Amino acid sequence: MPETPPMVDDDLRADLAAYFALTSATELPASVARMGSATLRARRRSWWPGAAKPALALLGAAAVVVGGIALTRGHLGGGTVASQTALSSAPDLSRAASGGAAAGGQSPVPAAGALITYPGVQTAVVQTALGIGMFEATGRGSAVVSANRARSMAVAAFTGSEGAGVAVLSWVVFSAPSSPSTCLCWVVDVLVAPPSVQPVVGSTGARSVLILVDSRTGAVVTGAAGPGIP
Amino acid sequence: MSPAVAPPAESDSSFDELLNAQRRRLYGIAYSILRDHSDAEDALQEAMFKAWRAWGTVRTRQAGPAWLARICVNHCINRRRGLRLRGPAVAPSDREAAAVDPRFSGRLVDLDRSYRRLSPRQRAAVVLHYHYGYSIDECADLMGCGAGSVRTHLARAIASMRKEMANA
Repeated sequence: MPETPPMVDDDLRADLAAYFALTSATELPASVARMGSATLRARRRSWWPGAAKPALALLGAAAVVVGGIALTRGHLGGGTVASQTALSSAPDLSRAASGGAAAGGQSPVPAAGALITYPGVQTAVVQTALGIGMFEATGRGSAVVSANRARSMAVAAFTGSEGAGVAVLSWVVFSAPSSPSTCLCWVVDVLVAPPSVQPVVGSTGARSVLILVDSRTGAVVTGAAGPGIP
Repeated sequence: MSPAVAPPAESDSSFDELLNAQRRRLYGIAYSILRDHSDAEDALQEAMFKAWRAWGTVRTRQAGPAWLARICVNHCINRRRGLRLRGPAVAPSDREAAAVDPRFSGRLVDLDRSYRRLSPRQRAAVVLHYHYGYSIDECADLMGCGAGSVRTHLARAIASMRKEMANA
């Protein structure tokens, strides 16, 4: 027997009216104000086939886990070479995960601008050591997924994550020896506590992993840990 | 999932017309269920993408507003559930709950705190019935459940909010 909804007294009714008047009086976000069949049709172009989307997202998450395991072995072995080795597959993965959304693999890499600034991350070192160049996204188009959603995806992708840093939109160039690829990605630094990633001997324990989220589909493209990343 | 099939271009104008008329209401519903602007923005875009793809299946244009609201409500409820399942690290509304919204003062602070603790379905029932004025039967139709369930959600939501405000 369903419960009968209680009579709402005048005080509560007035409070609810004031409350919803305040919460619904906000200005519409630009993307909502502009939303229409034209913008939705454009969104469809970056829509993945239903079966491929979760599988490729899983691949991205698996790469992050592999990176974490390799990092652990590297530390146990007394070096950090393993983390670089594990991440050497990142360009291939990124091409697979980005699918039609990224410009990768179809055309030569366009001239990139300045490297982005990300708190705590030495982007120049990451580019040199890991082959992931993170450049300013100016002129590279706009993101379909929001920064907030990208952070959520990054956190959800890594078991044991303790939070995420800011999301910075970046034109990412993966430098593979044969065919470089590119992707407009959200860069998110995810804090990971042991035992997900083995700490450096003598450190405070927590480390972070740089997660790249495709700005058009929201899928995790790859993760990186190693030189230049705290 | 069925493959994405775009509706014919000629139906775009009727869809846009409907969306323009309902845009603010739909965003208000999405925000009231999710209580996070970024999340509401994303959820509404995803819901409207679903709606746009299925627009050709709507038999009569008069049914459009309710049909659009139904897609929005259910998408937001499911999305909010997903955020809760993934834990507090990715539930912006939970993070926000600790902070006091500067727009509120007095009893509205307590009301806001208690409202945020409601389940997605309870939030949906409260905002649809008490703010947008949908009847119990209309709420049931929008939420995809029975009228009895809506009554139960409302009763528990009101009781919870009363209790929370009395203890504040």
